[in-house]
Amino acid sequence: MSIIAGVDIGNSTTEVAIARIEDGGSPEFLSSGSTMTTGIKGTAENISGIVQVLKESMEAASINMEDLELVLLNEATPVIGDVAMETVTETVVTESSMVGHNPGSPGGEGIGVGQTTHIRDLEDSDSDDSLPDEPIIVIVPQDYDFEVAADIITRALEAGVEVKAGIVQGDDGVLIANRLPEALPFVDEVAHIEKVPLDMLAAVEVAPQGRAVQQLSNPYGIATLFSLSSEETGHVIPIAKALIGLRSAVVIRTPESDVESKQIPAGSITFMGENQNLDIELEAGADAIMDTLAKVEPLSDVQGESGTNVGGMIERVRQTMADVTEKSLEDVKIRDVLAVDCQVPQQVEGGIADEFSTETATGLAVMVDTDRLLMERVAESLSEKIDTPVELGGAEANTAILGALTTPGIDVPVAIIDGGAGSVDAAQFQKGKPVEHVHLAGAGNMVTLLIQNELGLERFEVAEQIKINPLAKVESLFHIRHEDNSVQFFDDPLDSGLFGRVVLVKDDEFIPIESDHTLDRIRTVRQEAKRRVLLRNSIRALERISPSNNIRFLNFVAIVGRFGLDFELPQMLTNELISFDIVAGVANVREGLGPTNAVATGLIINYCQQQDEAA
Amino acid sequence: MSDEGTNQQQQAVEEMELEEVGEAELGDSSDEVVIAVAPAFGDQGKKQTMLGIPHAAILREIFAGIEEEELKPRLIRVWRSADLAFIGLDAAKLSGSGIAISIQSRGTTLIHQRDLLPLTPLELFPQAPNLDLSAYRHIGKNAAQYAKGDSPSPVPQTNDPMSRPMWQAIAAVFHIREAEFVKQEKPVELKVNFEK
Amino acid sequence: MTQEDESPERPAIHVSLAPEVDEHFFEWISFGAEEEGIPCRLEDADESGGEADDVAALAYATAKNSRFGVGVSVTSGKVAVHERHMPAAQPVIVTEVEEDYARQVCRMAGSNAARLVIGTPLRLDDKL
Repeated sequence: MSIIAGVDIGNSTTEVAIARIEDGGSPEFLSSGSTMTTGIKGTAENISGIVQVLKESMEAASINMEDLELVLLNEATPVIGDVAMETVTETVVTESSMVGHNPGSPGGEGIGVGQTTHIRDLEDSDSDDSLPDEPIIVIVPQDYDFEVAADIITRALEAGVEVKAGIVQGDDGVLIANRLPEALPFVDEVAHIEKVPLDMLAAVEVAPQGRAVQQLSNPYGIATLFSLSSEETGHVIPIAKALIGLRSAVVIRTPESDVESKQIPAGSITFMGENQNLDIELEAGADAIMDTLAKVEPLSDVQGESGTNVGGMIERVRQTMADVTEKSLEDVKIRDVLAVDCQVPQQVEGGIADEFSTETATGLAVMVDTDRLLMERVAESLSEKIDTPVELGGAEANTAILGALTTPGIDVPVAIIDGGAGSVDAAQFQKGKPVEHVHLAGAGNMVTLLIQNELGLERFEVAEQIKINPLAKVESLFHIRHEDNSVQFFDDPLDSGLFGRVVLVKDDEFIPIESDHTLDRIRTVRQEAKRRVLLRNSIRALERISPSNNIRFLNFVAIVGRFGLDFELPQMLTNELISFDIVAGVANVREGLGPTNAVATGLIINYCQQQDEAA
Repeated sequence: MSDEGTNQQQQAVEEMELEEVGEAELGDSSDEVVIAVAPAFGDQGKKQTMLGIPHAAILREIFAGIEEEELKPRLIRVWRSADLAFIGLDAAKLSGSGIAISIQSRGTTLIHQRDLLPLTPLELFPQAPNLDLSAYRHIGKNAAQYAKGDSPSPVPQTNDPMSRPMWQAIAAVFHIREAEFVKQEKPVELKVNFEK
Repeated sequence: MTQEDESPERPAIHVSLAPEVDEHFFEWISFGAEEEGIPCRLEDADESGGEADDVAALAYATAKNSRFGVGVSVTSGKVAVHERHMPAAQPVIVTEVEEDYARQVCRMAGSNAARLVIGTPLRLDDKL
C-alpha cells in the first residue's frame, strides 16, 4: 500500500490528484486540488505552485507529506503555439477630405453643401460687402460659446448669407441647431477642427435619429453633390465605404484630394510538405491558405516571403518559439497553421475626427514542436525540493483519456477534445489499439486575438475577459439585462459608472467594457471567433484521429480541460456533433470533478495499470 | 372557462385577511408591481367575483404570477374611485416600476403604466366572466414582464358575445355596490394573509 | 429651445435651486440636458419640499416630482443629480461647484441627468 500523487501542469492551472494504491488493486482516490500555474509551463518557476497544491491536497486527505511515496508528472503537450495578425488592406487619405463619425448628439438633420467658412468671417455682418455671397458651411471652433455662435449665424442668415450647415468642435451641435431660425445639420465633436481646410466645397449630412447617412455613404450621392465625373467618382469609393453606418458625416473636396484604398504587399507563404512545396499569397484569404495547406500535408515547415508582412509575421513567431523552447531558430519547425479572415476597424490615415474604416485582415496561428527535456528538468528540481521520487508518467493524450473514462456513462471507443491557449488537442482510443492523438494550431489565444482586433480593443487582456465571461447591459441603476435577455434586479444601487454600459459578468462582479460596441455586436464577435477557431479546429482534429478520417465512426466524445470550463463552448460543440450521431459532452472525471483533473487522475490510473502488467 | 380552471379553483385558497398598514407611499424599488383593489374588494363585500371565484384566490394567482418572474408584488386599496382605469393609474404612479394591476370586486382587471392616459392601459380585461384563475396568473406574469422592460404577448382573451347580455345586469349590481364604498381618502397599503 | 411649457405633468428633468443660488445655474444645467435632447423644468423651491440646505435631500425630493424620476439640485457649493429609486441620502452624482467652473459643472450635471433618462453611460470624468 502506498500514497502517490498525479500532477498536471497546464498553461494556466496546476492540478493534483492523491490516491492510495494497494498492490494489484485499483487506486482509491483521496483528494484533489488545483491552483494557478506559477510561471510559464515547463520552467522551474512551476515548482512553488506544485508544492503548494500538493501540501493542500495532502492536508485535505489527512496525510503527512512524508508519507507521499511517488509523484507522477505529466509529459507536457509537445506543442506550443503563437498567433499574429496583419491587415491586408488600408485606407489612406492623403489630403484631408472627410470627417465621418458618430458623435452622441449631432444637431439638426439633412444635407448642406457649401464653401467651408470660418465663423469669424460672419461676425462682421454690418458691412454687407465682406459677407460671403455663396452657400457656405460654417466652421465653429470650441472657443466660440454656443450662444455666441448661434447668435452670429442667426445674424448672418438674416443678412442673407446662405449658411447650409456647420462643423462644430465642441459637443454643441444640438444647442446651436436649436437656436437658429431654420433647421440646419451640424456635425459636432470634431476634435481636429483646425485641419478642416477653408474655402473648399464641402457637404455635411446628419441622418435622423436611428438612421445612418444615405447620401455621403453612396458614391453616386457624393458625385451628385460635387458634380463629379465618372473617373472622379471612382476615387470617392473609399470615402463612401468609410462613412457607411455613421449618423453624421462631412466630405470636403480639396483639389489634390486623393484617397485610396491600397493593398499592402502582404507576401506569400510557402508550405513545405514531406512530398511537395506550395506557395500561396496571404491576400488570397484564409480559405485558400487552408486549402493549400491541406494539399501539402503532412507539413514539415513553413516559410514566409522575406521582406513582406507575412515574412515578418512568421519570423516573429519563430523567434518567440525559439526563446521559449531554447532551441536555435533553424530547429524551430512549424507543424501546423490556422488562417482566419477577419474585419478589423483601422484608423484612417489623414482623417480629421479619428475616423475608422473597416479593413480586411488575416490572422495566423502557428504551432511548433517542443521536447520532453523541459518537463524532465521540472521533475528533477521538484524531486529535490520535496525529497520524493518524481517520474514522468505517460503521454498527456493517454492519461487524459484514462481520466476521462472515469466519467459515468462513457465507454470505448472514445475521443477527447482538450485545448489551451495555443493548440486544440484531440485523442482517440479503441480497445487493443494505441491511442491516436493530434495537435492543431489555433486555440484560445487566436480567439482572443480575433476578439481584440475585430472590436478594435487596445488591450489583449480585455479581449481575454470578453472571451471567458458572459455579457450584460446595465439598464438602470437597479437592474441589468443579461445577454440571454433575463433581467436581474438589485436592492442596492449599482455603481453609477456602470450605468448604460455593456459589462462582463464575472462571478458577482461587473466589469464595464470601455467601447461603444453594442452587447449584440460583442456577443456576435465572441461567438463567431469561437466558432471559426475552436469549433472548426475541434472538427478538424476529430477528423484526423477518426478511423478512416470519418467522425461518424466515433461513439463518445468527452470535452476535458479548459475547453470544458468555457461557459458556451461545450454547448456549441455538443450541438455541432449531434449531427454526426455522437454522444458528446463535458467529461465528469471521477463522477464529480467535471472536466478538470483528467490528466492528474489518468496519471495514477496509468501507473496502476503498468504495475499490474509488470506483476 | 375550462375544466382545468375549475379544478384549480377547488384547490385554491378561499379566504384571506386584509390588514390596513397605513397610507400607500411612492415605491422606491424598481422591481415591484403594485396591485390595487377597488373599494369593495375582499373583506368589504361579498369576497368573490360575479362568477363566484374567491377574491383571495385571484390575489394569490396574481401574486404568484409576479413572484414567478422574480418581482415583488405590493398590495394597496384605492378608495377614491370605483373606476378600474383610475384605480390602475393611481396605483401605477405609486409603483416603483411604474406598472400596476387594478381589480374590481366583480373580477374585471387591467394592467396600467405610470405615463399612459387613464383609458389607454397596457392591457384591459373587460369581461370578468371570461377570466379564470390561470388567466389571473398570466396577468400577474405579464405585468411583471412589463416592469422588467420586456414586451410580453398580451394575455389571450376569449370574447364571448353572449356574456354581455347574460352578465350585464349582475355586473351593474356589482358596480353600484363598489361605488357605495368609495370615499375621498388616500390609497392605503394592505397586508394580506391567505387562509387555507 | 429651453422648454417654456411649465405644466408639472410634462415629462422633464426637474431642477431645484436653494434660495441663495442664482437662476443662471438652471440655465446651465438645462443646456447640458438640451444637447442630449431632454427638457428641464425649474421647480419652485417650496414645491420640492426638501431641506433647502441639504443638496441630496433637495435633489431627491425634486427627482420624485419628475415624471422621468430624475432631478438636479444646486445649493451653495454643490450640485447633485438624483434618481427616484436611489436611497435619499445617496445621490447618483454630487459635485463640488467651484466658482470658476460652475458653468461646466452644471452643464455636465444636466448632461448626466439626461443620460440617466436616455440610458447611455454617464460622463464621470471632467471632459465636456
